[in-house]
Formats: sequence, C-alpha cells, structure tokens
Amino acid sequence: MSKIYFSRSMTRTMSADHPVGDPTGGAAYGEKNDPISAAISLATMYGTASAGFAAMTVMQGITFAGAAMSLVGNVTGNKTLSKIGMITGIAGGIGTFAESKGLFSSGNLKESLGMGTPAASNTSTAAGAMQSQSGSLSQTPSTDVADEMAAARQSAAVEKARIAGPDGTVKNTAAQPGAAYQTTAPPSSSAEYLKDFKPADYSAGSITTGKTVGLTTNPPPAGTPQLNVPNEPGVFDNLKKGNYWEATKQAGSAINPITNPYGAMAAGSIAQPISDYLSGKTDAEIDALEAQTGYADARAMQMQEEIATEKRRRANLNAGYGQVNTGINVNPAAMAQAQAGGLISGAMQPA
Amino acid sequence: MAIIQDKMARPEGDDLDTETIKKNINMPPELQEAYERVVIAGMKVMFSKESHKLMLDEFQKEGPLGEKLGKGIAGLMLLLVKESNGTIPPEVIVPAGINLISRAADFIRKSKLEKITNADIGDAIEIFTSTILEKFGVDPAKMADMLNQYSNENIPAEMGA
Repeated sequence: MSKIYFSRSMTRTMSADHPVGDPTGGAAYGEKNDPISAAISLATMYGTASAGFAAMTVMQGITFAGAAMSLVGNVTGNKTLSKIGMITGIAGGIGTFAESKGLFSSGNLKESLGMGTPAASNTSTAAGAMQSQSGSLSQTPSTDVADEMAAARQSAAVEKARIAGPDGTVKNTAAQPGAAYQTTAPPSSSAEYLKDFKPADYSAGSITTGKTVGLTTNPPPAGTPQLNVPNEPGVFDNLKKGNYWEATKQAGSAINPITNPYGAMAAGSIAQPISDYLSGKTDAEIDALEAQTGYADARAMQMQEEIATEKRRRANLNAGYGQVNTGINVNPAAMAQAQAGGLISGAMQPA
Repeated sequence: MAIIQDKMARPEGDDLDTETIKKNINMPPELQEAYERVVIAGMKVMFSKESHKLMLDEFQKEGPLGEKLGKGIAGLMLLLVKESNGTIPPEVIVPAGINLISRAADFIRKSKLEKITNADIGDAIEIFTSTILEKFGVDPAKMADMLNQYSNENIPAEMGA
C-alpha cells in the first residue's frame, strides 16, 4: 500500500481546516508524519547514545554560529557556508539534520584520532558482544561450544574405558598391585568440564591456556573482544560521562604537530594563555589583550616599514645613488601655492 | 533567524570584519562565558609577544591565504582543546574559531601583511569547519554529500527560522 506523506505546512494547514478527527492523533492534532520529521525524531532518539556523540556536540556549536556562516556565505558567494547556515535553522540544528542523513553512523572519531576502543564497538548489540566473548572462551569462534563439549566428553569416555577395570571402576595407577580400585565419577555436566578452564591470555602476543579440556587454541579473529584485555574507554564514553578531561586529552593526543605547523609553533607559548583561560580573569585579560593587539599591529607596521626601507636602499644602490629616493614625495604644486606661507610648510603638503 | 539576518545584512562590497561576524554568533547564556574565554585564549596565542611572530611567519608561507588562515585557526583550536584539559565545551569550538578567524583577518587587513578579501575569509571558515569536523569524526565527503542533498525543496520553509 502506497502512503502519501504531507509536508509539515500541509499537515499544519489540515489541522486548522479540519479540527475534528481522531481524538488521539492525526493531522487535526498536528501529528507530523512527513519523512523529514520522522527522520529527525528517530535521530533525536538515539543521537545522544550513538557513536557520533562528540561530532554531534561540535556540530551543535555550528548552530550557534549559523547566522554568521550564512552571512559570510552570502557575502562571499560560498555556497557551502550558505547551506550550512540555512540548515542550522531547521528543527534540532545541523547536528540533527546531519544525524538524519547518517553522517555519524561511522563513528570514526577514534579511528581518525587514534583513540581507545569504545566498549562493544565491534558488536552493536549485547547479544553480539556475548557471542564474541563466548567465541573467545572457546577460542574457536566458528565452532559451537556444545559440539566441543560433546567431543571432550566422548574423548574422556574412551580414555576411561581404556584404563577401567572389569567392574567399570578406574584403576589408580599410582597404587600398589593388588590394591583396591578407586572410583572416579565421570563429569556429569558441562560445568564440570569448564570449572578448571582458564581463559586464554593473548597479552604480548603469546597464547597461554590453562586446562584446555580438548578445546582448540586458535587465536580469535581480529577485533574480537577479549576477556583479558580491558577496553579503554573512548572519547565518546568520556564525553557521555561528562569526563571532558579524559575525552579532550584523547582527542588532542592525535594532533600531529608536524601536520599542524601553526599549532606546533604555538605550543611553546600556549601554556600561559590556557592558564589565563582557566583563571577566569576575563575583564582584565580583555584590557591586556587590547594592548597586546596594539603591540602586534605596531610590530607588523614596523616590519612593513623595515621592508620598505630595505627596498628603497636597494633601489638607490642599483641607481648608483644618482637620484636618491628618500621615500618622501614632494608636491611641486603645493610648493608653488604655498610660497607665500613659507617653503617648508608648502613642501610638506601630501603628494 | 538566519534568513532574516541575511536579508537585513548583505554588506555587498564591504569588508567582513570582526564586529559584523561577532554580531551573528549567538551563543546561549550558559556557554557565553566559555566562548569568550576561548576567544581570549586564542587571541593571546595569536597576539602575545611570545607567539605573535610565529603567526606572522605562518602567514608568510606559500599558499592561498584562506587555506593558511583556516588551517592555522583549526590547529590553534585543537591545541586549545588539548591543552585546556577538557574544560572547553565542544559546542564553543566552531563559534570561537570563526571569531578568531575574523580577528586574524582584521589584523591582516590592518597590518597590510597581505591583501585579504571576503572570499579568503569565507574559504578560511569553510576549511576551518571541515577540519574540525573531520577531527571529530565527520567524513568530509559525507558532509559534502549531505549539503548537496540539501535544497529548499526537501527542507520545508517553515523549518528554517
């Protein structure tokens, strides 16, 4: 059955024109059934828990600057900025819109920044994580544990039959000849087979196992969560817990000074600004910054003047100082007009 | 809101300056202080006596000015995030970075280090934003696809403020 979805404006219009309808829903009550609303609603529901949490948060910041980006986009003709600016106006902001487009589905922050692996990142469900862990326990993910248990049970029964006496009891090989047989009850459940089992230790590339009970010791496939290797919380986990310290430490750890030359150059001088930021002396810092900005302007102008002086010096040198350029332009017309007032004042008029 | 401001502003031909851009950054009250502090910290790095020459050197390198400006401010912001021990809320990164881009552009214009145009500022903001988003896990190609999908037809008008 094909369905027709109305836009929000059409739905809203219908709710005004037809106020009588389903008492619990429908257009008369402003229900939003259009695809955009559905996508945004779905995205909002799982957005905060998804792997794109950090990206969502950053993109929310774009919403605050959306008007500025739109303005710059319109003035400069930059379509990307214009679109970003306009999208920020939709319900939920650009973050929600991007989420509805599946932009954060990859959750590649940890990959791009080289951060810790979020828990259960390789399996999207708890069942998947459990399955992976059981695979790690059996150390043969492709083999069913029950089959292994049955094989082990059969192997144990064969061994028992080999050494058993005529009455079905197992002979204690350590006993003296003629001594009574000691009975050893066979394992009655899989739990008994596994009670002495120790999970494999894959640390440092070595595989050490305890009592294997006939289980194979193949290493698990890459990416399988391992029992003995604790998962480091990723940036997402830390952000969700509000632990911005760890999150940003991890995020920042991937900043490569080589590929970020400006950042690397500024690194040596950044400690003081950061401590100032943390101190919260905002007003005083603004005053100081204004003075420093003035210093920077003056310094830049000084550099420009030095460059111009050097250019003049070279030009004069090339000309053999036959006609020296002092950098001062004299306006002859002004000199003529200002004869009555004095030669000097006339010569000082701008060219 | 964005559409209304666009129609009101449109300073065709005028230079985009810090004041114009700053007026169009609307931070919520709870993030205003953090935003201002980040801007100040960034300004200190850019303009303090100790590190100002580094910025000048960076601008004198080869390459388009918009790219140098955008990547430089992106590097600066990521460094601030890293060195602030996580006290910078992620939401203020992009607005503060755009503010710093405009301040750097003002400085370049006043000091006449280079001729900077509005298009350079636009390029710088675009490069800065995409760089930051990429660092936080947003694939630039997917972002471009998303923006390409955007049109007035698939976003109802009333959803835009």
